[in-house]
Parts: sequence; structure tokens; C-alpha cells
Amino acid sequence: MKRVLGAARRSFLSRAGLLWMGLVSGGVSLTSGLACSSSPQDFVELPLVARGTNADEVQVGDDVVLSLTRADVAFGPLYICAGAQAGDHCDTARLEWTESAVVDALNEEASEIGTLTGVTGEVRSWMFDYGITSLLGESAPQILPAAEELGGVSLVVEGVATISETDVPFVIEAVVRQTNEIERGAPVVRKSTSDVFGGEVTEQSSLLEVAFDPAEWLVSIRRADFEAFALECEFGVDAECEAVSFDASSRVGGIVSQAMTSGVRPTFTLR
Amino acid sequence: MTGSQDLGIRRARIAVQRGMPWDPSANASSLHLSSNDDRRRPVRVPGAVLSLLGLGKLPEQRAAWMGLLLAVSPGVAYAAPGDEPEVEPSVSVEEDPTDPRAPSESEEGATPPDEERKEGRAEDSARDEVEGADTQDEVSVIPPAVLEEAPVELPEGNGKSGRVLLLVTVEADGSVQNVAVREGLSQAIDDAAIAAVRRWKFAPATRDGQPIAARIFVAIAVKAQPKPAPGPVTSPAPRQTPPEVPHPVAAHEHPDEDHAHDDDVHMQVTVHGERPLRTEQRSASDYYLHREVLQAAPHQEGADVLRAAPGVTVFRTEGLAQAHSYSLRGFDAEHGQDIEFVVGGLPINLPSHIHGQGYSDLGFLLGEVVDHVYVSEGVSDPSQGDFAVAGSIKIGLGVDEEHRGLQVRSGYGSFNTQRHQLIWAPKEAERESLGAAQFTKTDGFGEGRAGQSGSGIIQHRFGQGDVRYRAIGLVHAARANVAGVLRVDDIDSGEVCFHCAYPDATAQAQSALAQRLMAGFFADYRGPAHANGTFGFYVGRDHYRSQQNFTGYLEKSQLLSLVSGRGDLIEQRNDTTTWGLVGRYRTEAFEPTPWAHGTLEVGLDGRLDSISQSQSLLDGGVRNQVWDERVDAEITGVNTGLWGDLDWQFGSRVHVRAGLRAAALSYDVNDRLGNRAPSGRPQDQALPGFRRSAMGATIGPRTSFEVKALEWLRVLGSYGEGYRSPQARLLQDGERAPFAKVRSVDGGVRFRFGEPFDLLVTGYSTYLSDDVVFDASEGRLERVGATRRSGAVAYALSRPTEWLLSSFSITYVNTALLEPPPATADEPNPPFERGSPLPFVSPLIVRLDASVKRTLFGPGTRDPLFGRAGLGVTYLAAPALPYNQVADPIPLLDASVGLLWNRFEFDVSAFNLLDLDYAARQYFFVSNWDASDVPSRIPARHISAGSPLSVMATLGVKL
Repeated sequence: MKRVLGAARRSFLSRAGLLWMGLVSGGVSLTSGLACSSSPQDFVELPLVARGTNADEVQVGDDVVLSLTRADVAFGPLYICAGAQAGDHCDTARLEWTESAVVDALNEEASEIGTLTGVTGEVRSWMFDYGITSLLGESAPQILPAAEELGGVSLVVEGVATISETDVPFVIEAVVRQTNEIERGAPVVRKSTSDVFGGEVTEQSSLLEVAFDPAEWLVSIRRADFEAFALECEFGVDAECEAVSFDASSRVGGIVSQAMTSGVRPTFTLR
Repeated sequence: MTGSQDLGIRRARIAVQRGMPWDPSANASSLHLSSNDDRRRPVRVPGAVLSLLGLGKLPEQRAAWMGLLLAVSPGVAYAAPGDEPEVEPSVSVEEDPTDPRAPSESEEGATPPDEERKEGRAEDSARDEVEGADTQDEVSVIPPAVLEEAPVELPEGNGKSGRVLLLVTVEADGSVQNVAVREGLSQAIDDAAIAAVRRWKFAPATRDGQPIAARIFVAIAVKAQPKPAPGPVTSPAPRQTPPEVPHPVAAHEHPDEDHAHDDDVHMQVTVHGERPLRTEQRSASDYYLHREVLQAAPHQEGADVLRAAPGVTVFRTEGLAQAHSYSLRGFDAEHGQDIEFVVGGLPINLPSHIHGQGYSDLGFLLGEVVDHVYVSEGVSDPSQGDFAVAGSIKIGLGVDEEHRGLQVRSGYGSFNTQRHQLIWAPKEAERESLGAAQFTKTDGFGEGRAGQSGSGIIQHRFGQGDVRYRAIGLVHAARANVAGVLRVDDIDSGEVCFHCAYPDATAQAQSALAQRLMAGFFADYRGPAHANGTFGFYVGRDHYRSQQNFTGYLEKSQLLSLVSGRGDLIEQRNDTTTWGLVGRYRTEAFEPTPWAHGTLEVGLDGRLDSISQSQSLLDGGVRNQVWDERVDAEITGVNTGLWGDLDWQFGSRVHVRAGLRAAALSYDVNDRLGNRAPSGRPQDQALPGFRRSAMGATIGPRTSFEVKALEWLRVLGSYGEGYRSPQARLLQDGERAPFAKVRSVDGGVRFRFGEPFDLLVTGYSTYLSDDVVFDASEGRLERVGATRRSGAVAYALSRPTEWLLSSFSITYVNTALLEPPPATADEPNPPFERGSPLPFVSPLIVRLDASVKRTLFGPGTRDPLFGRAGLGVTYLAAPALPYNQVADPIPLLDASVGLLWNRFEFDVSAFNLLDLDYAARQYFFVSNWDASDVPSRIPARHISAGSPLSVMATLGVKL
């Protein structure tokens, strides 16, 4: 009897060994198969290019023309969102560029200013800052390197205003920044319903282009803003007029800032 | 006694004690006796655990009788002495463990009484029972024999008659170590009997010629002697004059000279089964893991023993004071939301816990007192209640005979980790009676991981006769720092090391505190013809507090309009007071036809939970100043379950169980922050608060069948509908469907080769109507809609030799989100898509547990030196993450070596032997840990680091 049991045991042992090997090899096979079975949401990196416009003259009212010689915009950070509305609804973005760069808004040649990172999927809105951004933990907005390069402002426009054949050189500075009325921690400029944007970010997407037209930000300037300076230039003793400086706290600076925030905004194109 | 049967051999009688599982009249069992003249007869015992009670009716003048009942297991110690030379207790018993007429286990998680679960045999029989080892191997065992006896000195004027039944351990050296009273008459008589038996000397039981320890019953009959007069047994005469006492007939040196061959002598055989009170194994996905398997691989904590179960993972991800993270065959149970945990009959899950539904902290558990674990994967048993979505894990506490006594264990290891244990299991008490305490202190394996914990467990089984009782209490406290999660890109860039924590105050302030007290009292009834029942009640008080930051600096105050970015240190507090009861009754076996018999069982369980919970944001840099409040609620919940179960066998091969469970849950919620005006708006229009109530009911079938196709092959199938209660705080007023319902179907085959090899192969599928996953931004679980899981499990248990034991399992699962929340204006970029795999779930889990134990020096001597080694291997395939990402796989190797000599044991265990940097938990969400820079809003991978290589040396002494 014992011999029989012993033989049975040996038989079981050999069968057990075979089954065991089968289980192990099966497990390994399954594991290796599974490693390739998932289809993750793909990470992508996308060039971010910016360009301006060659329209360097702006008609302000009936008889004032602004001829622009410089329009530097501090741009960034930028978030591209999946939802139709950015801001609070873009806690999780699809693409982002958390840096900043100065964009020559008078150069219509597109130039790469950075790289967007994120994941593939549909995009429907954007939000960004003009080089000055609000951080959740800080009461004062943070000036990013691009704005620092411009002297701590978001936009510097230089040019000559021609009023009744009198030329008035000018410099306009504008600051776009978070205030108490604007939610802290979120970019100030957000896509509105009138802005056209949308698309699908795929691995084949080649770039995202943002185009600025500074002229649109200056159209709200009034003749009166230059008249006094025009008289000085026309009847002044100096041979040349000194450039008129409109800083960010001036009325002109405020108008431009307002236009940059809620007027005509840059256009975003996903390619 | 029931089921008696005369064999006609000098009035030999075979009887099955009331409440015992084996019934000679049943087709399911058989018993054979044959003659043998040896007084110490070899007994051939099959895999089914049994005990034999030999009772010799002694001469009248001795007025006493005795018996030996030996309880042994395959390969351990079986013995059946009797005084009938014609009766050879060569016993062969084959019993059907699925016989519905079997008596049952006490309530959930409790071990059967000692009389059925003797030293050593519980483990083996448990293996038989659950792991399919209906072994037919016979083991030749010679029972102990009395060499020297001492008289019982009864008290003067003893006026009682009856029997004192003692449970006696005869050690391998023949000495008597433990004596427990199983049936007593009076304290004085019992004491006298114990004192006498302790002086007896035995020839030890042997197996294959090797002395082994055995546990036997000694019955001493006592006859009343109302008047102090000379006489046997009850004589009050000089105490120096020993009364005549019964002798162990079968073992007596000269049985013919006294009572052994009295004409009236008969042998009574009682077969004790190992079967639990309830049939626990209902489906192909039910596993019973006995102590030996659980202890095979080294474990750092008590809860780690659960890793031996197929498809179960257990990790510490949030420090010593928070519940482990569990998963079970495709369910990321987080802290217990999908697994019903029961320890010693006490339900562990906490409903509507702020940190996660069904929160189950097993930090109090000592692996050394875990006797067995029932793992029911899927839903097939009507007794499975709330949170039994992936399944149930019922942990029974007990200390086997080998380890009874006073044990002191101290361990010291890596990272200044100390663990001290005191386990007290009185030798004379039953297996379930124990007291254990543990204190742990560690500096942690990296920054922010220091912690300490203390816990205690007391359990006592007592009572005699039909109703026996069990009391249990546990207390636990722990406090630990929490390192929190780290962004993988920060680790890759070298900003923070793998086992470090962020240096910010808000990250360094992470910690947790756990406090718990539970107590329960249970009564188990064993009636005639397998009728049995349980009634019990329990109370509990749990306090939880944590402060954790998952996302860095993203939160804004909802109450203070100008406050934000002070760190997302989420404080959660939860207090739960629980009152609960359980009860069940199983009828006597009903046999309307010769080919069908079965029982009906009804059960009731209910609990009332009073919960207070809050969630706030703290500023870790300013003395934990509160800067926002998110939750402040009081919840009262009542959960009532009623179930019935038909357990029927048709013929000898078909077994069907059909049950139904109904449950009703009601909640009252006082949400103090509800309807609060947004920040910046005046609060003078209304007081904040949203009070509401909700109730719902559910009913679902629990069915299973088993076909014994061949002696070694069984086909099993089951279908059940279970449920999980909701997070009450999320309910609306009057909501009527507060359940997540699960439908679970299992089918498989069980190959019961017995030792050395058993194999189970199971396929399963589950559908859950409303699943939840972890949301890092809230630090809690959020709903993700319906989900589906399908998979297969293969489980093998092998004991090719006496000294080698191994179990191996592979669990594969395919998961899918069926109805994830759609994109909304608030959440335009949801983390889950329809059809995507469930996050945090490993599609493949491979686990190997193995242990060896051999005599290294002095085999056969009184104090041999044993060596042992253990191995635990875990492989988790890469789980999915939110946003369709995939995490990294986790391979782990744990090993231990140890020595045992006399009363001493020394172990060295190494965990994560390969010293791999692995993530115990991986996440994918948006975070910003640099408050001074432009934040990222792209989801990123985060990890909660697992322990590197750690070594622990433990010295234990048994007193």
C-alpha cells in the first residue's frame, strides 16, 4: 500500500511540475502580451510660433495716423484647453507653455518662441498672460522674463502720431495683469465666444501659431490724447519734438491694456 | 449522541456526536473498523480530519470510565485507543466536505471549536476543506499510551456524578503539557482531575516511528458519594490514599487485570470533522488559506498575509497610520471599498468614511495570531454584506498548539524599525483564546515616514455544551508622518529623491492618526442533526485624522475670496461609532427523498453608524491654520440585511446552494456647509446647511452549484448580486437608489489531487453599476459610473514533501469603464473615456509563496534544531492610470530564513530583496509643487514610493 502511495506521489509530483511550468510560462506570456495592449493618451510636443503684422499704420479718428516703429509684446504663459471655456474650467489643460517671450508684433514672419507640451485630444479654448501672471500664493502678480525685458510691462509700442501734419513721436506702455476683480491664479486673457478656435491635437499636429495685430489695440486712442503734444511740437522751440511717453498708468496705457484684454485678441491657429 | 450504530463486536458502538459533521448513515461518509490485538494500534487516517473517542466502560466498583479522544490530521497525530481487542481502530473515513448537513462554523471568521480543530489538524484539514485536498493518502499513526497514571483526589463529600472531559496535549516526550476542561462538573472536581492528569506519563504518539505531539481527550467519570466513606474515586479518605481512577484502557499495561475487558466494555468512536459551521466554499473563487500558507512568505505586518490569496495585493502607501491599499482581482479596493473585511467576526469596513468608502484599517492585525483566511472572490454567499463587491475576506484568529503559551518577540531592522510583540495563548485554553499586543516604531525608509503604532487583541472562547461563546476585543492606535506623493518629472530632474518628500511646509506637515476600539460577543449554537446558529453583537469606535497634500498649490479658498495658494494640505477627520448585531440559524437536515437532502438557513445582520466627518484645508506653514472648509457633516446610517440560503445535495455528486439577500440602508445627513453662499457674497440671506435623508433597498440572488464529476475533479459555478452602500454625504434628499450593485458570475474547475498538488482554474466576470476611483484633487473617491471586469484565476498549492509548501497564483483581468462621466463645462477634459481600462488595476497579478522547514540538527532528539526559509514573490503588471496612461509594473521579492530551537526562534527577513525603486501607488493628475513659478496644468505621473530593501531580525522566546 505504501509503495502504491509512493508511486502515486511521484506521479503527482511529475504532473505537478508540468502544471507548474505551464502556469509560469502562461503567466509570462500574458504579461508580455499585456505590455503592448494599452493605448495611452499620447504626449505631444508642439512648436509654438508667433507672428505679427506688417500693417504699421493705424488710423485713429479722422485725422490722426499712428505710424508704428516698434510693437513688442510680452507673451506667456499659454494654456490650450479642452473645454469651450477656459479659466476655472481649465484646471487641466491639453497643452501648455509656461514660459514667456517677447514677440515682435510688427514682423509678420512667424518665429518659434517655444514648445507646447501636453497630450493629444480636442482643444476648444485658450488662456494666456502678457508676460505678467498671477500665482495663487502671491498677492502681487509675477513679472516673467519677457515682461522684464520690456521694463516690467506687457507691451511697448513706439511710433509717430501724425496730427494735422504735425508729427508727435510717442511711446506707449501697457500692463495687463491680474487684479482683485480677476480671479487669482488664472491667466487674464481667455478665449471668448467670439474668438474662433478649435481643433484636434494629434501626433501629426505640426504647430500652434499665434498672430498679433497691435493696431487693433490702438484704435481706441483719441485725437485728444495727442493734441496737446502736437501743439508743443508745432510751436515748440526745439527743433525736434521729444517723444511723448504714455506709461501704463496713463489713460492711453489703460485704453491699450483694456483692448489687449477684452478687445481684439490674438488669433490662434492649430496646424 | 446521534447516529449510533452497533457493530456487534462486544457491543462496540460507533457514534457521531451531536453537532459533528459526519453521519454514518449518510452516503457522504463511510467508516470502517477492523480488529487488532495491539493495545496501541496503528491508525490509518485519511485526509479528512477526525477524532476518535475510545470509551471503556469500567467495572462498577471503580465507578469511573475514561476515554481518549485523539485529534489528529493527515501527517500529524491521529490515534484511536480503545479497549476492544477485537476492534481495531484502523479507521478509514471519507467524508464529503460539501455535505450540507454539515455543522457549521461559528460566525464569520471564527475558527471552529477546538474539539473540531485540534492542533495541527486545523491547518491541514483546512487545506483539505478549501484548497481541495481531499486527500486519500493514509497515514500510519500510533496513538499515545499511558505509562504512568496518578489518582484523582476528589474533594471530600463530593455529591456530583457525571463526567469530566479533559483536553490533554501529550508532547513528543510523553509529558502532559496542556490540560483544558471541556466538560466539567465543579471547580473542585475539575481541578482535581486536571491535577491528576498533569501527573500522568504517556508514551508519545508516533508517526512513522517518530514521536510527535498529540492532543487527546481524557474522560473521567465521577460518581457521587454523598457521605464521606471509604470507597473508590469519591472517597474522602486520606488524601494520600489515591482513589481508584479510571485508566486509559487501550493503553493500560495490564488491561485484563482491571477493567479493560469487562464484558460491558464497549468502544465508542466519535468522528470529529473539520467542516465549518457554514459551508464557506461555495464557488470556484473561494479560498481557504490556512496558517501554514499564510505564514510561508515573510511579512512586515499582519495584513501582509493576505498577499497569499490569489489576486490580492496589499501595500502601505500612506504610512503606518492609514489603511493599506488593497486590490482584489480587478478591483482597486483602495482602502477597502470593494472588499468586505471581517476579523474574528467583527466587520472592519467603515461606511461613508471621509477618506474612502468602506475604509478598512488592518493595522491592528498581528500575523502571528491569524489562524486562517477565507477569501470569497465574487458574490455567491447570502451572508456577504455591504462592500462585498470584489469579494469578502474573513480572517479568523487563533494560535495553534505549537505556539501556545507566552510568546515574546522583538524585532529590529532597517530604518531603526522596532517591533515588539507579546502573544499570550493559555495552553489550557482553546485555539481561539488568545491575547496579543504589538508595538511598532520606525523612522521610515525615507523622509516623512516616521511613525509608531500600538495594538492589542483579546479573544476568548468559552462555554460548554450546545451553546458556546466567544468574546473579542481589539484596540489600535497609530500616528505616522506621511511622505505623500512625488511628481515623477521632479524625481527624474533630481529636484527630489525617490524616497524623499517635498521640502515645502505643506508637504512636510503630512501625517495621519488612527484610533480604534472594537468589541464583540458571539454565541454559537450546535443543535441536533446539524442544526446550528450564531448570534452576536459588537460595538466599535473609530477616529481618523489625516492631513495630506496630493496636488501642491492649486486650491483656492471657497470661503475667503482673497485667500488661495496656501498649500493643498487637506485635513480629513472622521469619527464613527458603530453598533451592530449578527444572527443566523440553520435548520436540521431535511431529507425528503433518499437522493436529496439539505438545510435552510436564515440570517440577519444590522448595524447603526453614527458618523461625524469634516474636510478642511490647512496651512502647514502657519501652525496648521484652517483656510478653507469643504466638508462638515453628521451622518447617521442604518444598514439592515436579511438573507436565506438553501443548501442541498442531490445524489452524491450534485450540490446546489440558492440564496437571497435583501438589504435596506437609510441615511440622515446634516451637511453643515451645504447651501453656503459663494465667497464674496453676503451670508445674511440664509444660514448654511443642507439637511436631508435617503433610503434604499436592494435584493439579489446568491446561487452556486458544484458537480463532483470525478473523485478529483469538481465543476463549480456561481452567480450573485451584491452591493456597496453609497457615500452618504453625496446623496440627495429622498434619493432612492443609494446602492452600487454588482453582478458577479464565476465558473471553474477544482482539481483535488490532495497532497502534493491541488489546482483551481476559474473564470469570472463582474459588472458594477456605479464605481468610484481616487480623485487626488479631493483626496477621496469619486464616482466614475458603471464598470466591467472579466478574467481568470489559476491557483495551485503544492506540498511535494513534508518540509516544502508552496502556493502559486496567476490572476488576469480585463477591465473597462462603461459609462464614465462625460465631458462637461466644469470638467471638459475628463480623465476617463468610455471603454478605457480601469485605473490603478493591474491586469495581471502573479504571486508565489513558499516555505521550507527542516530539522537541521538532532532529529529525533528532545530539542532538535529546525531551520526554515520563506519566499514571497509578487509581480504586478503595469496598471492603467487616468487619461489613458499606463504605470510601471511592480516586481517584488521577499525572503526570510530562521532557526527554531527549544523555546527560541530567530528570523531574519528581507523585503524587496532586489532593492528596486518601485512605486507602491501611482497616480496621474495635475499638481504644482513650485508655488513661486508658473503652474503646470498638464496631468503628470506621481508616485507614492514603496519601501527599498529592508531587513528585520526578530528574536522570539516562548515561555
